[in-house]
Amino acid sequence: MNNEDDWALVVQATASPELTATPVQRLRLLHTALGLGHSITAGSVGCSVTLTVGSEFVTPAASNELAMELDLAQYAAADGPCVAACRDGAEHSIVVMSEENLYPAFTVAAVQHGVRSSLSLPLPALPSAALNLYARSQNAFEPDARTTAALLARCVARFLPEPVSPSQSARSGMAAALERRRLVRSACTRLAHDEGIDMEQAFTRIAVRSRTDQCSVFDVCADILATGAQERS
Amino acid sequence: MTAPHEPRLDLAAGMTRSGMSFYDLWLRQISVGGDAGVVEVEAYVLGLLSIDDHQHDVLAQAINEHFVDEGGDHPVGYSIDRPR
Repeated sequence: MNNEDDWALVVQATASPELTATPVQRLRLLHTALGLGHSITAGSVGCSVTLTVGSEFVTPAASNELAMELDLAQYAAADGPCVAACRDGAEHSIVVMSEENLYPAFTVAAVQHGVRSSLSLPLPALPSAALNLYARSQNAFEPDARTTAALLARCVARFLPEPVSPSQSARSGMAAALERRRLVRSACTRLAHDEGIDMEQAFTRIAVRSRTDQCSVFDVCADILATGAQERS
Repeated sequence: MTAPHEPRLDLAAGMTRSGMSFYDLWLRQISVGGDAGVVEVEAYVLGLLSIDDHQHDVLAQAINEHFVDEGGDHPVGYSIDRPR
């Protein structure tokens, strides 16, 4: 399907209850809509949704890993344009990422991923929710793009599920989760390089080893990295 | 340790046994390197969306990490455990 077909599907679905009756239908439409976020403007490279659940922020879906990573960077710092859009219900854009001072944690992550501008806009009729768009070029979201993004936001708002609830223990876990995520990815990278396999194969080997060794996957990852450090010294 | 003869749990059964919320699982999935959104995680576990081997193993590990934290083992099987 091309963009026009996807827009036709997404727009039609907002007016046809039978097309959004089941969770699977809504999730597929959400994915299609987030994919359209890549066509909003030249250089668009990621699109995601942020929901607020209690005092936490979650991404119900993202168009790709890049968008998820940039959302997570904001959640860990509890600040960033998507967080701000959820909090105040206003549009937040960053025109030139390298010149932005308001959200240092987010801008560092964005620049590292080659993202130079962003737009987060609140979702209509959904409290504390936002659509996020990320682009490789500066000042990517000019007025025409913003108008299209606003339409996309109205569509996305129709496809979102009921909010999920974090447990008490999970509420303070995002920063720790991101630290562990870096550990796992570093270990997978090391193992993939050493064994001549891809990252997914490396992850499976690490997971199975955690079962064999009856330990946490994070212990296995730490061991892989420590062994590599010893061999290099 | 899970006995060799003890059948391994699928994702849904493991999730039920764990008692976690899907937000908890999403956070654990993030921590083991996964990239699925919280709604996607739920849809995968409930079997509403097809899942590839890697995504399956990420979620399996996320659920197993819950059991390891509780002093248990790895009851949820990986893609290599599934009959071909």
